Amino acid sequence: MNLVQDPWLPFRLRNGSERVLPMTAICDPNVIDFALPRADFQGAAYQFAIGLLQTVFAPDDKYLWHDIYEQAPEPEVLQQAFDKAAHAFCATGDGPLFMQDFDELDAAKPTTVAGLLIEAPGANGLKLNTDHFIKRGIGSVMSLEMANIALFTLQINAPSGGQGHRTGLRGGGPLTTLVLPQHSNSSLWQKLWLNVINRDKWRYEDPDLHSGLVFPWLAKTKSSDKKGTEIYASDIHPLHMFWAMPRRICLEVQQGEAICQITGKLAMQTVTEYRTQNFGGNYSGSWQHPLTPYKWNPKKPEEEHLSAKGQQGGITYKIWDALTLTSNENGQQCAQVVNHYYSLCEGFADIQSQVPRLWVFGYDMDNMKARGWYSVSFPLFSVSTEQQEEILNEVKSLQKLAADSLWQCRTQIKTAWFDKPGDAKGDMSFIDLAFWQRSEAAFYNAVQHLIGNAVQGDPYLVATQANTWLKALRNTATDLFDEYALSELGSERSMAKRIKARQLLTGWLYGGKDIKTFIANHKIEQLKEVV
Amino acid sequence: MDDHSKKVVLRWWQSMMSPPAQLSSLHIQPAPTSYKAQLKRCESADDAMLTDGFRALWLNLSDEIINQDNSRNIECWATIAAVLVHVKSESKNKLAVAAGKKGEGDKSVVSELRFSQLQNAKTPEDFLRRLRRVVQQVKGDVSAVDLAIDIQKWFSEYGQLRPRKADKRISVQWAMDYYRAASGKRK
Repeated sequence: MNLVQDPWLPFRLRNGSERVLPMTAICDPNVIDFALPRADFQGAAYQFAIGLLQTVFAPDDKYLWHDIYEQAPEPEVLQQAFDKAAHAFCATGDGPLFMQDFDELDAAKPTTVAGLLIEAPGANGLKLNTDHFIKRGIGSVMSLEMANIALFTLQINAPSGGQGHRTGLRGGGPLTTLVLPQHSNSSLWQKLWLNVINRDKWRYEDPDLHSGLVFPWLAKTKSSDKKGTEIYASDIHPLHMFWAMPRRICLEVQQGEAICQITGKLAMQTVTEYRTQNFGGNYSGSWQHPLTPYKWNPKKPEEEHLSAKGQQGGITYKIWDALTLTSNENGQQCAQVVNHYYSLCEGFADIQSQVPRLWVFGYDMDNMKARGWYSVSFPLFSVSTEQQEEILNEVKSLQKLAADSLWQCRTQIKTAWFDKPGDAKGDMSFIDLAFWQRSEAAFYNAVQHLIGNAVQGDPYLVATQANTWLKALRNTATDLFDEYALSELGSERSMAKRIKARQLLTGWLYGGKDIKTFIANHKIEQLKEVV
Repeated sequence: MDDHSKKVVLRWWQSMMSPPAQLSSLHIQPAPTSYKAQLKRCESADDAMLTDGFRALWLNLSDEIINQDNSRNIECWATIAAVLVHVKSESKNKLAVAAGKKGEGDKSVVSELRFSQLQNAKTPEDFLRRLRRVVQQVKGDVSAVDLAIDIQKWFSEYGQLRPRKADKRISVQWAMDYYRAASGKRK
């Protein structure tokens, strides 16, 4: 089976049906999405297709980019481009196989194919019998197609997996940000093409598609069992970032009918075991993966840049700025595809009469353990590069006010609940999550005003807009407090405590230092509000 | 509570409590003193329903209220009648504010314990008894109409779904008023 010639991935069509089609189906206007049975596979399918297009079909400049966005290529044209790299996308055969080690790894002991799934319990979990929420035995038989997408998913997300089991190029469980059209029924082509960068914006040498510098499985793995074997960005071709291979894996393919446990469908070729060896490619230093935002210490820019990761507590507008804006002063950089979108042309959003959105997804990993999978859509505003620093500072001040309000709210809820709130243990992050989610709409409204004002030349909120934001924060904080701390009043002792805590909260929300500064900075008229 | 009902409550209460001179200027017929005496002696809302004083209030309410097919409704109005006879003067004070204010010395007029017992009253009988005690403790110096509104709120929450927002609930409002008054801050 060849991954760029034969049908292997399921697609969703405009009429709602699902079909397994070859990769060229991505240019069919009737295809609107992938239809993988798992969220992480779905994200991997997007990255596979985007990586493939960037590798063999990248446009020369933004004009060509536009033409191809408007008019998807013919399948034959696309197939021709794919064929150039077909030798690197074999899933079966005698030559090098996609994302599998160049060596046979005969010495390694076979393990169950479920190990490719990131949330599957590991060997230690099985030994200690700690597979509580996700039991052993999931996905122990996979069709060859699903095993391949699972393999790719693992290679791009790989968490640290014990000695010498290397993390992916972007670290374990990175966030991926993709620019998507506003409407979910846009063609898959447009969804993918928004994330392909023209080569005028991203300059690199023409890739040698037969080289291990682009597709690492075409050459012997650079083993990392000794010091000094790290792979740095300067060692390889930039396109390698889409195809990084930190894990050394060989799938054992079996012929014969079996039910694939991922899809629940009958498969003719299946995988139940694979061989793996540690000390695969050890990616080190700073990278600029086109689909992921990075952060660094602005005082020491030469230090390693860190990719954004999924974090406990979910993905909220708290980190919206880090995903969408770039600022050297603050040491943050949004994904290259987002930058590319900004640079496309000033009027892209107007021409399309729709504003693209940003799809953010990724695992939340605690070392090897997957805590969860996040998938969120954020608004994406058109911001010119020059204005980003100014706008960012204002956005950060809005976020800070929200974070401070949340801190007060959470502290007072704890004061209302506990005798010694300082000693109270436990996960209170549900309060945070509720706060971020409820104030989200108000935040994006404020940001929209901010950017609108910036276009007029004044990147600040006017008094009424600032007041709306402030009111939204006050309401969110008091509502949350009332729900959590006043739903029962209890005895006279706890009642007094609860009411006192509420007075402290409203006292801060109306007269706290930060609030007063915000009011003064934005010249909000002091209305006599009843506390 | 609608405006008509508020007016009815106020005039009814005035007819029993205000001096005759003031009543004639308001064109209110003074009520017989027996109304007040009977209502004060009632131990429950059921007793109150049988009194002439309650009848004088009830029959003046709008048909909408009287014809409601809901036994809680008449119980609520009987409780209002039985509590309001303990309100002595025309005042603007809210009950919980009056209860929370510092009396002589450092303590609130109504102790926190007694106030929380009112808050936690589980049945209409219990509520009536505790509410009367609190009204007596503040020497009847509260607004009759506001008190009637509070009682109606209590009944509408009793046995029904509570308002979604905590600060719309009567017990939470009372607690906030009480402790704000107790901490010496003026609203």
